[in-house]
Amino acid sequence: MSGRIETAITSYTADTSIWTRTTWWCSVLAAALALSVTVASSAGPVDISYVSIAAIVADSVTAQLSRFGAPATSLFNGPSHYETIVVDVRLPRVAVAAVVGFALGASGAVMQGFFRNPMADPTIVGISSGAAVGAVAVIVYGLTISIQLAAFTGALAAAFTVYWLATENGRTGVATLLLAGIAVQMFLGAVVSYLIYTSDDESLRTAVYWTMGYLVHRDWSHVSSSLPVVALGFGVLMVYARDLNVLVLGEEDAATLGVDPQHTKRVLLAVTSVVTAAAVAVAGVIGFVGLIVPHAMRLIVGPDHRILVPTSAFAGAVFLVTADASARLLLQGDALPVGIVTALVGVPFFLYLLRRREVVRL
Amino acid sequence: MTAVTFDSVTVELSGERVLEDVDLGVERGEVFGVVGANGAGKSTLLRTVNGVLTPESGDVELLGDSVISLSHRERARRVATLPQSTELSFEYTVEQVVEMGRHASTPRVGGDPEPDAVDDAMEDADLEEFRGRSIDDVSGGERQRVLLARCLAQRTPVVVMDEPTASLDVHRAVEVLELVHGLARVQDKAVLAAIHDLDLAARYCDRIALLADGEVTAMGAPCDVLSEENVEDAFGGRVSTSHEGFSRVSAFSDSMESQREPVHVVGNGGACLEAVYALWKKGYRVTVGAISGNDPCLSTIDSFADTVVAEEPYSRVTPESVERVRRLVDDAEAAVVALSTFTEGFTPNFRALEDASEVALELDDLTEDEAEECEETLAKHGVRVEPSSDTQERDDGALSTRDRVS
Repeated sequence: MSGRIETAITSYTADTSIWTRTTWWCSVLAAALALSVTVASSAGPVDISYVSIAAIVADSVTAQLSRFGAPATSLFNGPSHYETIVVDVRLPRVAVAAVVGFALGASGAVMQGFFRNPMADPTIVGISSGAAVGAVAVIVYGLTISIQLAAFTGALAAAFTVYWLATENGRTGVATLLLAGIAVQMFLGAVVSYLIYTSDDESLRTAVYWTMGYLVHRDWSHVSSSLPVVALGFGVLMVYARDLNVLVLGEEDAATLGVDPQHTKRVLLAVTSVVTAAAVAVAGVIGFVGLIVPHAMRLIVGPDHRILVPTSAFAGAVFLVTADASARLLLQGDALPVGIVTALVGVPFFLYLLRRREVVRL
Repeated sequence: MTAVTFDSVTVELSGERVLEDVDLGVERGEVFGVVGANGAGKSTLLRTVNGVLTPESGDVELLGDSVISLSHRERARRVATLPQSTELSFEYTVEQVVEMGRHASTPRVGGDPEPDAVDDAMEDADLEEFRGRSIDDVSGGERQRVLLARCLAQRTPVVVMDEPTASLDVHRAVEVLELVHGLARVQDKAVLAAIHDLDLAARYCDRIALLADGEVTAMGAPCDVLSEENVEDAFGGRVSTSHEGFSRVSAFSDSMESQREPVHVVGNGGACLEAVYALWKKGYRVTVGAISGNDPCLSTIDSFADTVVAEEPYSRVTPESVERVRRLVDDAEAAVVALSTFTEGFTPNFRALEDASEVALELDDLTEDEAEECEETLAKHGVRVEPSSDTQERDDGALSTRDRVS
């Protein structure tokens, strides 16, 4: 970044209140999200124009709202199966990607602050591994409960175990939590490997795909089961964003500034765990979104979590929607797991940040 | 109401008793200093006030309420803490860090009820030019001021400071303490500060508590608490203190026990002090006299010498003193004359040197005429002066004298 831009940003930062900046950035990112959703919904074998997609989306949104008395629009007057393709096939997948990206971006920003470590990731307390054990067990043994519920339960059980292991006399040490998380992840990883080893050919394929980020065959039920949890959790995280800012200074400092460190840590850990678990349960294990996106946003908007958490959430949604769409657009196929794309895009970007030493400084 | 009250507070850290039965009270409007050696319990004492540590027994009250009964938020509205160090692992700006001082006073929804608190604090700590600067890009001293500003932004009636002048240069340290002292007066704050530097503690604290091994060994006005005896007991080593005008405390190592045979020094001023210090450093026991009671170096000389024969201020050397000096010279292995000024009133001392086997001279501070007059006077009194003009002996004339004797 050139010195001039930096100066401009600094003076802009100093003169503008945090909420004005947050609103401004979130509006920009929400617009980018709308754009990426539109572009992503156009990706597929049937060629549907952006204008048609926008019209279809507008129509279906107003149709939903008309239940509350708002007037319904009918902007789209093309072939009716286009509506089915967009509304029932493409949009659910895009919406799931957006919700999951949003959840991972927000949780990642919070976890990096929580651990005071830019290498932290929302899955660091064993959430992905726990979810994988639940989902893969259902797939391999053909259990009758849904994969989503099993993954969600597995994720929370793993997170709670890690928390329990790291807590002594009501105090949870951040370093202990990190180490306990790594240990539990390794153990659960072995469990997943064993489950996959004992599986037959067909379930093997599904199980492995699931652990690579699974956005295929998503429908609106996946959105309606994850979105409320993510939205509610995000609200709580925003309320605690200022406490998290103070907590980053260290627990003793935070305590003298009026933050109860143990209480705040418990809330943050519980909420990010639930939000991340809800995301992983509908989308499988998707790496790097929760790591890279908050990083990049911190370089752009600064370390204040009141702006970092919401912008990371929106940017995470944009990133995941775009990554999934680009896989479909470039490969003309449906099945490429999105986790592969995020890693392929994310790792070079991460290394670029690392070389610029920004990561080291954070 | 007393701002901070310690009622027989005992603190244990991992089974070890760090504070024992501490009683003290800090009033609003005063700066109360806590001094003591490393590990004496200063930080522990401060950390019971802001609730970071909970006493094993006894109670710390903050404006009438027990600290442990208050919520974190309420504590942060009553007491602000200047930490000894802080971890700042993300690149907050200076302003953002200062703003965190407002955390406890700002409701979750809505703005800061005192919107100018941050700006005022930054102005008081002289930080305005650093406002948008990253906290990682400021020096250690500037960072200390950022934390001070954060503390001020809290606008609390009580302030606890752990080494407020650590990592500040002398000039800044004085500025910070002036500021703190002023705030205590003007804003009626109670300031409780652990201060390493005893001179600064004495200058800026209204009262001081001296802490040794977790116990308060002395408490009161700085000039009473920082006596040589108290400070030596608390810190070990040898200490010289003076409380004329402003307080000065100088510490010296105590690694050398004075065991070698005594040497007597007849002298005054800086020359005498230099000779005494040089001899003490080499392990001699030193006796001094007779010296004027208003000699500027008397108190320091006193801390190194075993015996000092001192006159009333501005009086001539009396015959009784001469007799005492004569006995000291008899006991001594050698004698040194070290003068910064040569006056008529001082000459009776020379009579006491008649019997000394040999005497070393240290007259470099005198003018040539004075030195000549002094030597003549010595000769008149029958003192056998060691023929020496070699400045090498300046440091320790007595040593060569003694070497010759043996």
